[in-house]
Amino acid sequence: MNIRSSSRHLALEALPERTASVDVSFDDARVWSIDVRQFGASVELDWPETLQPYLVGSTRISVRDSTDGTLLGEREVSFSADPQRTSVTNTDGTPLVLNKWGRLGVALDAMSVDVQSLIVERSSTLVAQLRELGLRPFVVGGTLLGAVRDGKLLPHDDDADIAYLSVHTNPADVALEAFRVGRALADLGYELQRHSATHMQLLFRGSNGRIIHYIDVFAAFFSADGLINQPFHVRGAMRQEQMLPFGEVHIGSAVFPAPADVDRWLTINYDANWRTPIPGFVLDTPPETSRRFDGWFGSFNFQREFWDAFYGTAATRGASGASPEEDREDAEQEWAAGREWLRSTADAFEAPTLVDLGCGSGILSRQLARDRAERRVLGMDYSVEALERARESSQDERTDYEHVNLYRARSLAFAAEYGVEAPFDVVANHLLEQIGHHGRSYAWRIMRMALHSGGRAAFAFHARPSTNVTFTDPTGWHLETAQLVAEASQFGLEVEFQELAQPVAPETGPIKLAVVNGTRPVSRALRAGRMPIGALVRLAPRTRAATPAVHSPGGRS
Amino acid sequence: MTIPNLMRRAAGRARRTLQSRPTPVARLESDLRAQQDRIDELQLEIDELRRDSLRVAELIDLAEQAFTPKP
Repeated sequence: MNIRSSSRHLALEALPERTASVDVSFDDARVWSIDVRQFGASVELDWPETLQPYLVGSTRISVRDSTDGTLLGEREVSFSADPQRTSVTNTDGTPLVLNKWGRLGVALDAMSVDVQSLIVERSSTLVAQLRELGLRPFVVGGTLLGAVRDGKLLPHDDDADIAYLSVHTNPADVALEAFRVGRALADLGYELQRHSATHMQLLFRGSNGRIIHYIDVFAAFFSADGLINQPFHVRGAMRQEQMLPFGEVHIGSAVFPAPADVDRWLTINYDANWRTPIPGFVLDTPPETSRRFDGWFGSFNFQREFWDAFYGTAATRGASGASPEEDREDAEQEWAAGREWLRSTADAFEAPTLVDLGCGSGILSRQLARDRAERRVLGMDYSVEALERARESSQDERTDYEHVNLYRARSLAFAAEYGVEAPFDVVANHLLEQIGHHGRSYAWRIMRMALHSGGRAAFAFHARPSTNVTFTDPTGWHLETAQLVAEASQFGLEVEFQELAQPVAPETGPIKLAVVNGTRPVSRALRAGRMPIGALVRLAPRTRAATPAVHSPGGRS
Repeated sequence: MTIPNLMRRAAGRARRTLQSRPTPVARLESDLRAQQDRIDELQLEIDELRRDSLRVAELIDLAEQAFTPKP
């Protein structure tokens, strides 16, 4: 087999007919596994976007058959003139592999035997704890596949997957139960991140605070139509007796419960060829299934991986010699006009607490706290990395950073949870155009809560998309003023816009910021750019009249 | 009958058929579009109803926590 490669493409020529999956390695470190069943004897692929930043220097690319490790071909290539060897590792030097979601992560085969044993041990403990909670746990996904096929964890996987079979059939009851399960697991000491109502991820950190591995916990249930469901992917025809009573599978010496008919389960989860190892296998959830599960259980993690990577990466910069704070300001330069406008606007805000919704690394929160020493600034975000960066950079005791997820109705409870009393103000810098309409509905509500509390609300956004806008990069998204006006009116709100001058790029001169009168024609420079706009939010007159200032139980019903 | 004559007659027949029945095809297309629009509309309604399940679950969860007297 021949290999050709540039920094953009990888071409594999004369692939053996029997090969279903190949492992691509740089200097013997696996970086990517590819399901090649869909291709002919020759294929040219783009290097995945997430790998491209690492394609620097030279390496020996080798391609092996994933099933038996047979070397199919190798070749020395230079991606660039840089003298170093190409390295795809994290900041600890641990090799990273492209996972089934197209993201880079640490695969189990790169973890030590000790860590793998720990994952199995922790999975066993978790199964016991779920049983103690009165649930019916069993292993699913790659953990079940590895156990059935080889009696061990899949080397190409990156976590353990455990589900519990709910007794409920109604999605609302299943979600409600899952919220309680999540709280019970948190009470047991687990660090938990919710991707949806029924998909929880338990995070396990090392002594340095870095995440070593995950265990995913899912709810599974039979819906009223008789189908088995395990969001986010599994949905298919399965009889109760194919599920219960549970059978057993082994991972090393550990015994785990499994569906009675593992063949049926794995066929629904993967396909009828689940016995053939395809490390590059990509789960292809039917759109109607995704739509159903997203509706029933939400997408609490919508774009969160992006933001975690965005703020995680900014924190590791420093080659320029600049401080981490300066580096972050540089990375967030595109939002500077909105930041400055919100600072000047919030100068007139008088509530004792100001909430910075979608605070990111907290640049604006800190500036707002410095501007007015007497007020408490509460920065809120759903990205763990963003909140960590914000807390690291904040020396100011009047600035707090807390988790809030605008894809959840629970976000409305933030005031009670974080001790915010009336009145409070809200600002949001380039949040609304980057969260989608589901998140926006709760952002509008929080702004309305601020206004009803006697506070004020303002936000900034881009009215034009970036030239290379994509679905996967929300920083390029935009909103039009007409759409915002229409949305605001649905929440009984009015919006007043002000066009903001774009910041001049740092290398071409100092940042010049000025509010442009909204009635003036938009300058040519503004037309060419992203068109940052500031927006002041007010209660529409009818809302002011209709909403009581003091809440009472509201009589009998 | 010569081949050119046969072709002329077939072409004439086709022309007459198409000219006399322009409506059914156009109507089918229009019906199909209307049905597709209706399916999209219903799909959006189903999405909203499904999202209601989540809203209900979140709100019951919140209410239960908020209204449980603290020990």
